[in-house]
Amino acid sequence: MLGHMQGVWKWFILYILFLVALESMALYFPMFLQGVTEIISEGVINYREGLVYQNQVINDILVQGALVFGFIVLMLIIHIVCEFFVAIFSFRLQKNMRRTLFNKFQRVSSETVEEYGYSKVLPTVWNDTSWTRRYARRLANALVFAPLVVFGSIFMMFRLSTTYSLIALAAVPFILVFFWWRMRKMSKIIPEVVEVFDDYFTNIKEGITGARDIRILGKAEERSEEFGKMVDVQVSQGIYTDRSINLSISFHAILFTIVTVIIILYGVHFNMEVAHDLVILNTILQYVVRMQNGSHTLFAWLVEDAPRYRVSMERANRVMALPERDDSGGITVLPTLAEPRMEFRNITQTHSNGQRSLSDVSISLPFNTRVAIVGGAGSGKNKIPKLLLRKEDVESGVIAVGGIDITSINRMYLRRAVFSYCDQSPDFVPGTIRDNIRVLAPYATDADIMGAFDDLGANDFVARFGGRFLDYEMGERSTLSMGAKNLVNIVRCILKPASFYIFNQCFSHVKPEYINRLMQRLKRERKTCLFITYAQEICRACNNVYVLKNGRVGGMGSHRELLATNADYNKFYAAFGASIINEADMEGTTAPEPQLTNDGEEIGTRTLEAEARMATIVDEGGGV
Amino acid sequence: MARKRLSREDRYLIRVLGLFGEFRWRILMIIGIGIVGIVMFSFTPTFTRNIFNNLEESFDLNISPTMRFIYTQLVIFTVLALLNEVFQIICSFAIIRYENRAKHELVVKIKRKLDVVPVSFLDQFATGDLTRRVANLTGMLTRTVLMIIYRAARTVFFYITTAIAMFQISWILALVVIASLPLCIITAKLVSSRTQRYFNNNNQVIINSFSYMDKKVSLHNFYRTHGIDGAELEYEAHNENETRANIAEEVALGFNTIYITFIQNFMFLLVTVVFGILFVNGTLPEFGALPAFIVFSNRFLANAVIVTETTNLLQSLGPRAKKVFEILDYPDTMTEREHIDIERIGEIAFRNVSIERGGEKLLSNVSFRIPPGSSVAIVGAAGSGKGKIVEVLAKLEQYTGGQVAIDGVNLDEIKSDSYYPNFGIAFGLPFIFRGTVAENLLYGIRRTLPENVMQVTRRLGSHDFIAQLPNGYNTELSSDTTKLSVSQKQALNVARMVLKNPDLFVFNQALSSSDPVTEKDVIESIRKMNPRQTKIFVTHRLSSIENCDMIIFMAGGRAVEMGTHAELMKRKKRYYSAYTSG
Repeated sequence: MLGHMQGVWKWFILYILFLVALESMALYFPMFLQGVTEIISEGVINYREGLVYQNQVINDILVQGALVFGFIVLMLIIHIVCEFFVAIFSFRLQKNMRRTLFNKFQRVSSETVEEYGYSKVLPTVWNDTSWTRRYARRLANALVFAPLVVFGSIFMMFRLSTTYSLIALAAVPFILVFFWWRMRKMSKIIPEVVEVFDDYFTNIKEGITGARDIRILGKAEERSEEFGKMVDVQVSQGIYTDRSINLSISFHAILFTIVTVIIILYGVHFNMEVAHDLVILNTILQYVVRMQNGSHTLFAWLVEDAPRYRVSMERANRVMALPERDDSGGITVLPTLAEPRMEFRNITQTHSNGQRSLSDVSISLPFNTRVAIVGGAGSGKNKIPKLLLRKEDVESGVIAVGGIDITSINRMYLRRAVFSYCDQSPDFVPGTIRDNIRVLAPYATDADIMGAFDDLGANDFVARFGGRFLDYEMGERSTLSMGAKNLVNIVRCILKPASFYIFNQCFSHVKPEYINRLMQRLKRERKTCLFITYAQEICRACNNVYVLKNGRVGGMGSHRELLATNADYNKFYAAFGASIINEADMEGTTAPEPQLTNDGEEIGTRTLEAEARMATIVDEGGGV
Repeated sequence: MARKRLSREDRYLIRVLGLFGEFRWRILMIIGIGIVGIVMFSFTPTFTRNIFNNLEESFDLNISPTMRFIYTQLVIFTVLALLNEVFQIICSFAIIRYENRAKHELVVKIKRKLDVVPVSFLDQFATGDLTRRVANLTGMLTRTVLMIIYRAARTVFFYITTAIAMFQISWILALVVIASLPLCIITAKLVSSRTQRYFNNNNQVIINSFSYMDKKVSLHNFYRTHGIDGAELEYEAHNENETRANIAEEVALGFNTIYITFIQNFMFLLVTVVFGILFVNGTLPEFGALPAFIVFSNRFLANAVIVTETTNLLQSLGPRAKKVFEILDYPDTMTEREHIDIERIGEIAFRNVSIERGGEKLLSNVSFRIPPGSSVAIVGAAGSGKGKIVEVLAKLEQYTGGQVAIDGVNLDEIKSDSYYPNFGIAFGLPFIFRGTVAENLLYGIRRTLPENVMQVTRRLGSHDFIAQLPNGYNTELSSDTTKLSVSQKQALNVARMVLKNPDLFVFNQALSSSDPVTEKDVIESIRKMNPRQTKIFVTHRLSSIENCDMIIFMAGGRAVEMGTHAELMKRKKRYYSAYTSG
């Protein structure tokens, strides 16, 4: 946690200083009040003995009262300032932690994140940091406020009466032993609770996203039962946690009741010589109450927060320990490739299980050519985009762009500036179609975008949105069909400025007519393109087609040549057969609907905190 | 009248209460015990006062205090305080138990509901939103409602008995203490209304920041693939905004505590000063009243905090209850009419089946008959209605006209849990469950032995890519997996359905991302596999389905042509032109 304190220390120290000031004032407060009581008790005696007038005593009381009131107001002001500092300190700490964890994820490869578990990322970055913020705040209280109040109260009590204070102190060891015992119990239970909650959450989420498949596979009932069991475990753990905390609190209260009684008893029995004692006894009881508050804060941290804090920090540390991909090396600025060309020279690549996926593959992509790679399952075609994007590095052989080995080019630069990559399962960012195009082609104007759709002959598709096409929200559950999504994806990829255009099996559900016009546009723009595809429209329009078979180049030539000479290709082409998607392609597209926005009022951590305060159990993860 | 005044949200809360119906007497008893405890506890300061008075008297008269009296008072004080603690423990344990039982019931209920409502209903919500409703809101509702009731009952009795105890000692001081209560609550309300806008603002900012992060996590692969890393700047802005809004809200919220502390201190002072005046002018001649009233005032304010917190919570409860109940109240179209169990799926007959939605005919008068064991292809352009036929068969869509019969039984009267075990469908957008490849393949499968898995994957040509995964069939997958390409996910999904070996197998563009050779091979293998199984293939690639027993050509929601490949080719109409145009 200390590592995340940059820029926070200042506020932390200010908070501590003001907290100390506030609590010291609070400690003196009973003494001030005692001042009033002394005036009362002495005033009464003096008045009864005829030394002063009644009004004079009342006056004295009021004057002293006014002084104390001033003191209270001062405390109020310091308290407000304190609240500012603690809010700044704790939320900036949270902010730093979130930034660190979040950025860490950006530097980790997708494979590593998957290994760690996508479903755990958000709980770590969001919930654990939010928990840590709360613990940090309470930790500051437990470390500063609690000792100050407990020891301060004892100190003040000692000043008033040594014997009373010793009695009050006698309770402390019992309380500490009890705390320690509870803390050990809780640190066992809480990690289990967190685990169960994560599972439970994933089960629900999977149940929603996989609803269709689950029902048809007849698993709904079974999953419900499984879920019911999870709830049972959670509930029984919840009950146990609740009981532990409640029992601890009650024990705590009982112990203090007993201390109070002993103090009074002692006072009554042995220490009644001093006439002053009643007033003192009154003040001491107030200190006992304060001591109880202070030790409760410490107790709550130790029993409730510390074990959870440990779980959160462990998870955060596990994230920080994930291996990062080194994206820093390599060339970041290439001389502008006026006539970009690409070369695969004798590429040999093996699978993680040792099997060959590519053997001695050489492919040449001269400037202003469209080249297609065709191959069935197991042909090794899926390795090609991985190697190009440097998701895997070449084991043997060289891939060169403009004569430069791609392994010497910075990985992120390569992906961002050298290639425009059109993926087979397009992802979309939250936002409109325009946003989604600009995420890859930031300089594309509305006219460019509309022009591109127009070029592809997709006017009728665009027209369905009634002039609001670019503003259509592509939400999480947008009703756009696969074909429509692929089309948007293709358009943003051709609008992205890059040296090479890679299309990886992204034409399923796209009208052949659009594909034909796409090929015309690419040719017109003299773009250098590589297609990994099955679409015959593409093969026909390509300058060169490579047939991959069992990781080797099994044939090469134009579509026409291959048809005449290559048996595999011929078989493939026969299988293309007729496709029927030339009438319309937007299956399932319905009229654009207003997106349901999640008002999500429940995300507010505030109300959750109020709940947490009311109910001592904490079985829900963080702010979300 | 009273019924009318209840808002919808209040009624939701009453329904939450209904969950406790089973234990209502026990809960009432618990509340009773809690009340007895708090009533006893309310009187404890009176005993402190008696002791102090006795001591003071003995000082004044210069005699030793009546120890016997003091001891009796102390014993009573201790017993009452301890009894209250014990009662509290009993009550809180019992309450935790009941609220958790109710939580269990509600959570399981809503989870089951999600399994029966039409899938289109689920599609209206963001996944995160629904997940939160099920996971967090339900527990929160049951817990809070019972707690509020218990607290309300206790607090009311606490105030009444404490007021009685106070008035017995001094009515003036009693009024001073009681006056602090409305002062406290009104000001707290005032503060909270002033600070409301911070909360609202913060909610929005947090939602934005959270959604941004949620999306970023699921788009992790996308951003990395395209080398976009400047997006951190945007997160930095979200993080900064959120932090600012949080600080503002935290401080605004902190005002409540600050204010209560202030009032508490102020009341200490006020009670002392007023007592002083009363004591000096002889109206209240007992010193013991001071410690007693300090405790009274302290407890009064502590309860005021609970009251304000509870009312705030109650306010936020209604909208939350609504979020849970709007799901629970949604009609589950699947179960209402279903009452017939079936053993197997045999002949399928569509008679003039139509689907009309909002004046639009999605399917009009479609009729056909599929004998058991035959293989049928449904082809047609997108929007032609072929998808709707599949959805009807999968019981995911309700037809509005005509009849669908399975062996003469109306489809919508067949119970889902007897239908689905005999039905299988592979979608083009497959879902991968958390678990290994093998677990995914056998997910929900009852009829196939695990030994058959490899046999099937070999026949379908998916064994090779599975074997190439880091741990082969034991490779862990999740719904966000990047280990598999789309076509590989589709292949797994098809293999899963083949392993399920249902009476009716629907292949719904299930290999749209695979190459045409693979698709054709797989369709041919499936067609030949189980001669008793009825197969329906929906695909774009006409070459894959040439060998089917019947081809239904759909256009504009109608079945325009029907027959074998040879027959349709001979007819030289729409199928023919589509086939030859490629």
